[in-house]
Amino acid sequence: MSPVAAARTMSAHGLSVKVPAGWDGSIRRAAGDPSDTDIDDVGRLGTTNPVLHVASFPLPAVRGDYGGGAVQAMGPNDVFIALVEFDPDAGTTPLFSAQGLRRPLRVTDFDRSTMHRPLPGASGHQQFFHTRGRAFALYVALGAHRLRASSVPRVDRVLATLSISPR
Amino acid sequence: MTVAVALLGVVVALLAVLVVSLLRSHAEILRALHDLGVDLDPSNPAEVARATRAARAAATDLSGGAPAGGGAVPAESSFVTRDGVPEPGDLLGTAAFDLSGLDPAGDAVAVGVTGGAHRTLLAFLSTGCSTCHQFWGAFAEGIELPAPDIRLVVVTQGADAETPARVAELAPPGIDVVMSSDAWEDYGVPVAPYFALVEGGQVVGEGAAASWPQVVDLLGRSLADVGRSLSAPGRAAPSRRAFLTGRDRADRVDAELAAAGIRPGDPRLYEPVVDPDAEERP
Repeated sequence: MSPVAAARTMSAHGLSVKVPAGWDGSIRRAAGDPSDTDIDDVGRLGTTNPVLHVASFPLPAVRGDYGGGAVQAMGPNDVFIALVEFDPDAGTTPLFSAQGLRRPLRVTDFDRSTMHRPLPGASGHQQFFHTRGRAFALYVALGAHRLRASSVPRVDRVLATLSISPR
Repeated sequence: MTVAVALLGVVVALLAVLVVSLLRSHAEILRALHDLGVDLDPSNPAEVARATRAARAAATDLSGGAPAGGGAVPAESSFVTRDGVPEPGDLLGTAAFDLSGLDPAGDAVAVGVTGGAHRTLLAFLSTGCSTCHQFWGAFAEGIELPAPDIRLVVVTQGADAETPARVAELAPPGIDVVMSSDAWEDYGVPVAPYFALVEGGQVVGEGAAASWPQVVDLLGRSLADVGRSLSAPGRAAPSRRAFLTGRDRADRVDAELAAAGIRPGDPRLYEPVVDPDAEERP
């Protein structure tokens, strides 16, 4: 019998989150050479913005910010969390006007039509907010909408450990 | 009466001093063991695993591998195997550990090894050893994993022992690379390159090898020893006794013939055996 594995704290780029045992995660900047990238894409900080991923299944090394190339591998009980940072200036726009991450998440927050890429049986949730001078989009995908009653609390437990520092 | 009480008091005092001395000695021993990296607390699986591996000598890879510490290969090792022969599986059956560290770009990454239905093949490589470069190259060119459920993860030591830029240069596209010295310590990696196959939260295969085919062969034999199959998770391979005694041979022959399209009654089964050597003989 294997012992109970511990969650690991993952920190980078002013973001921190506890990754449950057996789950995958990353906090990384999108690949790209800032000097060759339009300012509209990278923001005034002159670099690409961090993206946080946490998933209950193995994440492929190559994947999109919103789980493209990854969520297709989700099983019914799997969940995928993406926290995508935008340029700080976006925090002043109406889309990001919400102050802080709204949680706890509810099962009613999830809808099949919210999936960035339609997947049979899956559902998603998205919210935009700003905090500590930073603008974010949270995107969560569930492997099976019918299992949301058990999946959403697992997602929320991870989000409860999320910490965002000023950049 | 007073003398007896006084003597009893002295004896009790002496015994108290003795007990305190023993406790102090015990504490000193525990502290010394702890300083040596041995933790006897059974509730700490990582420390238990490390303690289990503490007896493992700094085995060297005869085929060009480098010691995990990155130093020169010792002239003599307490235990070596012949080239191509896997070393004993000290890790087998021990608990696996999730990985946490940095990727070559310096970003945070966590790889779940202990959960899910998939299997994870951990390839502990360094940028310095010549044998490792064969694997870096093979992974970059693309290798065929033994089964679709196996996920390959390359693990190097952290930035304290590796140059991230060099790791980034060698990192194969599309394969997870985690820089984590803790992972090397958790898994007790004795030499680079080293491989560990994790299934169900346990190490089910491990060893050192000089080439990818050797890795596949090594892991296959390692799993066969515990009645598992490399081709599928949890699928029991024929037992060694059954395999050696041929008890399952008829089934295996039938399966292989069926795969070749030869069914019972097929006329090809009854064709006369031709001995080509006999035809060539005058």
